[in-house]
Amino acid sequence: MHLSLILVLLLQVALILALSRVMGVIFRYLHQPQVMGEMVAGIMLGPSLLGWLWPGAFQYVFRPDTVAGLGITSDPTAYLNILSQIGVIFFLFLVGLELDPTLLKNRGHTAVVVSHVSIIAPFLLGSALALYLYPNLFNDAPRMRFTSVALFMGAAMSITAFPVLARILTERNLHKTNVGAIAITCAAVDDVTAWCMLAFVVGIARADGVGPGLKTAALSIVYVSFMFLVVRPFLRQLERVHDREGRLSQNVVAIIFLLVLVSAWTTEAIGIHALFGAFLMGALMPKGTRFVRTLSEKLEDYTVIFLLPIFFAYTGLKTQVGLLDRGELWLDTGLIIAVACAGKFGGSTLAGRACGVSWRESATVGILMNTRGLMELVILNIGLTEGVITPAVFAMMVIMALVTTALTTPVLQLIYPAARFATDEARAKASVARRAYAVLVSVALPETGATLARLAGMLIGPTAPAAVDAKGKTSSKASLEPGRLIALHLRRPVDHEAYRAGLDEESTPAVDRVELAPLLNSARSAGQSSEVEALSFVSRDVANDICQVALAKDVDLVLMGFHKPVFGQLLLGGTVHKVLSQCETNVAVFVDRGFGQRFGASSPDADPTKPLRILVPYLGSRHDRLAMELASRIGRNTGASVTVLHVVPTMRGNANVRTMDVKGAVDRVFHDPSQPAPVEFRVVPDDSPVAVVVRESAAFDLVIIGVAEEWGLESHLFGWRPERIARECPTSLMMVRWYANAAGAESEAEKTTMTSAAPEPKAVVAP
Amino acid sequence: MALKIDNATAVYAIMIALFAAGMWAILAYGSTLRAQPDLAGEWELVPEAGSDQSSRQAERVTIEQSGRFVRLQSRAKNSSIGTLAMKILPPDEARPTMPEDPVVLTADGERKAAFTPVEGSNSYRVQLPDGATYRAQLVAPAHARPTAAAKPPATAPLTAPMTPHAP
Repeated sequence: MHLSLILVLLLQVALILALSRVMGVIFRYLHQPQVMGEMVAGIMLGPSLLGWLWPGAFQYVFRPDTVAGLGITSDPTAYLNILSQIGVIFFLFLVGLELDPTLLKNRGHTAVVVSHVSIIAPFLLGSALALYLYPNLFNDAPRMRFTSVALFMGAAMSITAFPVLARILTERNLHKTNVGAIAITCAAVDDVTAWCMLAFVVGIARADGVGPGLKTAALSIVYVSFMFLVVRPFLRQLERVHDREGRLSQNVVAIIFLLVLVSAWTTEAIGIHALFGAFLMGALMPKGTRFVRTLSEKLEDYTVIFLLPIFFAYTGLKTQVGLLDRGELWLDTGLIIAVACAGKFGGSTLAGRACGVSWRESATVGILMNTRGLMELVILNIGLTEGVITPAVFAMMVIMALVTTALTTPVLQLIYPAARFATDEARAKASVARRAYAVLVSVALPETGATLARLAGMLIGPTAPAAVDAKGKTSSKASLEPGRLIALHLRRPVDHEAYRAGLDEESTPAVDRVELAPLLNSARSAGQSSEVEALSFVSRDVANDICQVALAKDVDLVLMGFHKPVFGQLLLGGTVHKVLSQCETNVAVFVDRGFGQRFGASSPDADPTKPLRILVPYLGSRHDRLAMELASRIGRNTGASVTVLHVVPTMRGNANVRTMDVKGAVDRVFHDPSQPAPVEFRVVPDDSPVAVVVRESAAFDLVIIGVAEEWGLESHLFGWRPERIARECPTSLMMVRWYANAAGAESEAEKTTMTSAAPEPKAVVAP
Repeated sequence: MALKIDNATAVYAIMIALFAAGMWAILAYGSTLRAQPDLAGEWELVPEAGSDQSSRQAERVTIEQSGRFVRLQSRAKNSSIGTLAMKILPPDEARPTMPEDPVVLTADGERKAAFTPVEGSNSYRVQLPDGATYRAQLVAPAHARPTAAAKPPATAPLTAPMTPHAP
């Protein structure tokens, strides 16, 4: 079949985009940077996989014999090359745009030393490696002189993928730590240095002798001076135009694009490669302004989603893993990976340690610096195109880039499990206020925050429960300690953070985040005496992070709202299911069916002064007991009336015995002198406990129920039994799950309050 | 006047000095190394006249080379030979004017092809294991070649059969 050029190109690009998105998603699921998936997708489309497994398809898409309309070239992938080059030029402009010089200023001695060593050590080792590789893997070609090869290998080993590193730091919330600060500074320094080095190496490789070399150097100095002295002030003028107009006009965008292209053309003509011009242009743009952010957003999607995958695919087309079909070549590949890790990881780690940073933190900086990502691919493509490296060395170095990037996340998890460190730190801080009741409220949607805050406030109360010292005496000081409310909002990573630092967004304090505003306002307006702490960060695994924060903050209860899932009908599915299954503390899931309206100012049903009526269905499980304890808390703190509903089978001989046991349990929970409202204990004979609860709940404002087997809730955690109560209950519902070693479980204070004298609840047997 | 240097400055000075010394040593030693002869590119192979290969046609072969490792791909047959190892033979003292060292390409120790430079031209005589011999010329080098000063131009086009190379 004869294909026209445009058909070939459209087919190629469509295939590339589809596979890169799919692989990106898969790799994100595997806790790898999305860019790893896109890089792998590029390799998959090349001769290494598609061409090997399905040569016919590869030939059809990327090497068609007959293409009508081929103009300037007979290679149908040449147009992919052009698109990919344009993409990389604008990507480097974006990288320069994201480079923040303030990262390089006012950094401590450690960051400066580590950043310099993280360049020098791999550069030296990479150059030394060339001594071994050069006689075996390089040709006696003019641009493969040893000097060019050694400098190139050094530069390629020194590179760090700043965007990927920033992304990992953001996702793991390390960017505000000492380790994160060191790593980000080093990556920024490495970025600038690497592109300058690359310009130098390309200049050396291209120069045919001393005369042309000096000419290139002189022209480079003139160019850089011109950019700083003329272009930079002009860009500031453009920024003023933007500020005056209040928007980024298409004319301004066109001027900037034109400057990028002219700058790239100039550096290419001088002999130091077009990418350096694009990078410098981005680096000179005014930083941290709305002007740059808007420009970046305009450019980013097209570059990152459309053009960069083409670059990865074109790189994949040139990567022939099949060239490495001998054991000795794989040994060389292993050696390259070892040297790359020794130089970057080893150098950074030792430098950090020499500066007094702990081994663990030094190694963390080291593994972060070892991330090479797509920056390595950019530099390798230049090497291959310029004829400085051979195809086999290119394939080896691509494998090294993939391995070092893929290693980062798992090794980081191994040597620096952030959650563990956070837990240790938080436990140390929280030890003083251990007795204060703490609730972690996880807010997904802003509109649910206020209700959850109100509910958490009811649980925490105006004062924490009395603490008991070692001799069993109540501490009056501790009893005045406010409870703790931790408001947590976890954000899924947004796409642009795949390539950008995303640090500008991270600079917004958690308390100022719009998602937490209703919750915090509600907590303030209610005059809650509890200490309110707001947390917000990017999370890939929301459920796991909720559990980790709960552990780190040593909370007594995780309170989260329920939202109808996009897919499926299960109420206790998705994130809720994971939190219920995994969280190492008590968990409550709140389903709002009119509860929030009681307190909403605009609601006609609003009546916050009316005492709350709480129903606690009880069958005897530990989850049910937690439900009673929480109801007791709310009762104590708000004066709510509590009804414990015990459903017994109609024809069971030992029903009375069991009822006595249950009543005893209720007595233990509600024997609290501070309980202002009476507690009603009702026994209902019925063979369908679920139907009774659904029917009775209509007369209450809130149902608190344990996720027990009998309610058809607990089993759902492990199976697919219908959650009838959760679905059919007409009243707001709080489903609670007890955890054996929860922070507040069975605390001495609780036991004391449970056993102190108080009026007995009145028992009523329903007809 | 004594010059006072703090620790940090001293560390940096030592670091830079080590780096400079290391790079100097690497580049100095590296300049004595020799990479493999560059055969990469597209070759035209013409059967040598007089040999028992009258039925053979001239053909184009692409050599993809990474140092010692070489791949041959025949355009006409659309076939590829796996990676071959290149071995440089000792200089032939009998023919000191030879522009390049002769090389052989081997796979698993078995000789697959021998490239012997032809005196007075930039072409090679290629000998295959089955005894067939070709006159080969690099028509499209993969890497830019030095200008004519370094290598003499081809003395004759290779489109016509040539006389056998004297052993």
